[in-house]
Parts: sequence; structure tokens; C-alpha cells
Amino acid sequence: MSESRSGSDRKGGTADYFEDGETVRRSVTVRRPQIDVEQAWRDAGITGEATFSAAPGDLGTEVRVVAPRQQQSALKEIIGAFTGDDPGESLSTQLRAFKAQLETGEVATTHGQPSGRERKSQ
Amino acid sequence: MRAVCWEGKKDVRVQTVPDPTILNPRDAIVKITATAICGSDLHLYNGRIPTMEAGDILGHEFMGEVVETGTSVKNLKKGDRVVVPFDIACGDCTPCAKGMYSACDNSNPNAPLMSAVMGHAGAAAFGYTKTFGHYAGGQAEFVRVPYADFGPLKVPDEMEDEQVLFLSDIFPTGYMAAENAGIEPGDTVAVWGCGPVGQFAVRSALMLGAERVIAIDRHVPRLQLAERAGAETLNYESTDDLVEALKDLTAGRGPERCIESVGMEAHGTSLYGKIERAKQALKLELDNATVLRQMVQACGKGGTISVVGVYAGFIDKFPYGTIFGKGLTLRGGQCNTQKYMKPLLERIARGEVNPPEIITHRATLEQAPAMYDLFERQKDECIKVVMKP
Repeated sequence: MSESRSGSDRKGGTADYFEDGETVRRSVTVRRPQIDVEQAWRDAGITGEATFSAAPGDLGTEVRVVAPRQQQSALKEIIGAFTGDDPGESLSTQLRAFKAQLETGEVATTHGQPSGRERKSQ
Repeated sequence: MRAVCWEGKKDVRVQTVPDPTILNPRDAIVKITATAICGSDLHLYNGRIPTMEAGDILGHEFMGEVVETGTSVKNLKKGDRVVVPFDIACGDCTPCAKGMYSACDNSNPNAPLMSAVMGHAGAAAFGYTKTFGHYAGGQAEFVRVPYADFGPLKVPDEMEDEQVLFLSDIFPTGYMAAENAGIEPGDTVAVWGCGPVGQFAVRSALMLGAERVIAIDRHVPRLQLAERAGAETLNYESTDDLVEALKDLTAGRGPERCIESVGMEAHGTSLYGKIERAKQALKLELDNATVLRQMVQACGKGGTISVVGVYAGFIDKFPYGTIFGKGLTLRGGQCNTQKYMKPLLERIARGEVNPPEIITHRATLEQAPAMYDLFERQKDECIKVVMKP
């Protein structure tokens, strides 16, 4: 973690959050014991360097991940600046799914549910 | 199956759509036996809340019979009668562990959409926009219920659908509004809005020990229904100054507990109210804060304002200085429905409350477009519509 260029730098209780242009940092709190979370992480196949710590108040395990920033075209970067696209979206999505799978045994989805749109396409 | 689909502003149609299927191990498929139109469905009907898509199946108040379960659902079996909470919660995350089911971490597949606006994402809900997860709703013949091993409440055989249907939303929502108000013995509670949620807020405030409940609306049948439950009533259309009227009724103190069950489409007769409605019509503002401003003015010093009406976004000119100056507490949120369903079922079983008394219209699913129009226009003294597929 000390080599990461994106992160949360704690000095004397003061935290600064920063990101450089090459990495993204995302975090999630999973309501499971740290040993279970670390074990699951090994099989999760998520790109990035993860650190784990016990969350305060028995809230589970804090997972912080620093991953290479997805390279985007200059045009997409410009459009993203206006649309609010998150350069760490892929990592965020993977961490949400990781947390959901561990906590609930599945990942919420609506893909495949009915709507009036199917009727129109028939 | 047949389902009520949102096709655009003031345009709902009953369509033939594919049947739902099990998508996750904790899902169940429920055959709907009763479903209701909620006042918050009218916000969608009126095009007030963004991120609906044409073809979305509406409905978040429903109950029915389990016809299929996923492999992880062990507590339900085919044939069980269940009432389903409108908010979808996993039961396993930290907010759920704290009883804050409407803040569930895991149920909303579109969490980033909500986080982008609100900072964090709350739980998903049935039939209520992409932002709230984009789940198909229950104004249909069948519905897929996620986390079915946690949310749905089994209904005793001896209880009729109409007795328990409103446990899906409006009774718990009204009850939570009263609970959040922090009612203490001797308190006077004012309830803005005597629609279905307001009716249950009135009844819940009395159940929780309010000395007086003042119900505020302009529709006489709704005021009469609140009065029959034990409330005093105030018709704001025949009152020059609602805040002064409430002060007068409380000898200058103002009601200590104020409950908001109106939401973003407040009618309002003041100049401010008319300006807000014009801004909404011009899409310059999502929410109409007429009622919230009245509440802040009217609430007694050190009192509580409890908000369960639906608001979608940002509000102009909110008088926070008054909240600060009077030392008010402001509470709000989507109902944590699952927390209240069982205890309120027991209250119904004991005869402490009679939910069917608020039903004014019974219809079939095929009549949904006409029922939406009737409810929205407040025709035929409509208070609550229940539909059976």
C-alpha cells in the first residue's frame, strides 16, 4: 500500500483523500469476519491491491482496494467530465458484488424480469 | 400475464407481458391476490419523479400466494399467503441488522445512480423508477419477490386480504411517522394530509399516546374519516392562516409533534404554494415545499417534524434558520416496513385498527387506468383503490 499513489494518507489523525491519474481507490465495508473476507478475496478475481481491517463497532471488515485506472480515450474523458462518469466504476461494481455475495449469497439483479418493453419487441 | 405498465405522464396501460421467473436463489414468485394504488404512485403517474421508463410495471403495495420459490428459500412454500413489503431488503447487511431496511446496502442493482445524487444508495423498491432498482412492480398477476426468505410476512388463514394488504406500505409508513415524531403523553400532534398514509398516521399517533391529534386536509370525506378515528380536523381551504389556526388551537404553543404525509405535490393555497406549483410545472424545482415550510412555522418550540411524504430531490428556500431558532428536530425517511409488519399485524388481529375502513374503491386490474385517473383527480371521494387481478 505504501507504494500506491492513490489513497488516504493519515497523519496524526488527519486524513487526506487523493487520487492520481493512474490508479483508482475504492473501499467497501463487508459485514463478515475479516478471515472470511480475506479468503473470499483470494477467489474473487478482482484486479487491485487490497488491504483489510476490522471495522469499528463490530461492523465487519473494511476492504480498501487500489487498482490501475482504466485507460480511456481523451474524448471519453472529456465526455465523462460532463456526465459524471466514474473512472473507478468497474472497480466499484465489482466491490459491490463482492460485498453482496458475501453478505447475502447472491447479487441483486433485474436482468430477465418482465416489462411492457418485451411486449413491444415481440 | 397482465400487468399495469407506466407508458408516460398520465398514461398507464394494462399490457400482456411475459411471466416473471426466478432469477436468484432467494427469489419467490407470488400470484397477486390484491394490490393497491399508492399516493406515491401518483407522483410517477404525474411524471414528477425521474428515471421511469416506458413499459415499467407499476405497484409496490401487494400481497398474494407463493407459487414458486428459489433454492435458498426455506421458510416459504407453495400456497403460503404473504404480504410483501414495498421496500426490498436483504436482511444481512449492516443497515438491515440495525432495522434500517429502507437503507439496505445490497438490494438496489442501480445503487450508483442513487449514490450519485444522494451520496449513498438506499434500498430498492418495487415498481418505482430505475433509481430505486428498476424492479417490476406488483400491479400484475404475478411478481418476482427478491430476498423472499426475509421480507414477506405470512398471513394467518383467518385474516382477509383487505385486513392485511396495507401492511405492505401505508400502515407501517403512517406508524413510523408517528413513532419518529417521538410522541409523549400530553402531546398535541398535527398531521398534514389525510390521504391513506395520513389516516394511518392519525390512528398510530393515538395508539402511541397522543393527547390530541389535529388532522389537516381540504377534502371533507378525508377529514370526516380522520374525525371518526378520533382526530380534531382543520380544513386549510377554509382557514385564512393555517399556522395561526394551529396556534389558536393550542393556545399559542403550536403542536409539539408535526407529521407530514403529503409529499412533493402539495396543493397549498398560499402565494408561496402557487409559486412552487408553477416552478414544478416549469421543471425548475422537483419538490413543492409548501407543507414543510408551514410545519416549520407551526411546530411548537423544541418539537419534532416527522416527514414520510415522498420528496425526490432538492428544495428551494428551506427555512433552516427557523429549525435552528426553535430547536426543532427534523426526521424523515422511507419506511423500514419489515420492522413494523408483524407487530402491526398483531394490532389488526386484536381489533385495534380496521384497515379496510379507508378503502373507497374496489376494482379489477383491467380497470387500473380509470382508477389512476379517478384517484389523481380526487373524483368520487376516492381515498384508496384496491384491485384484484
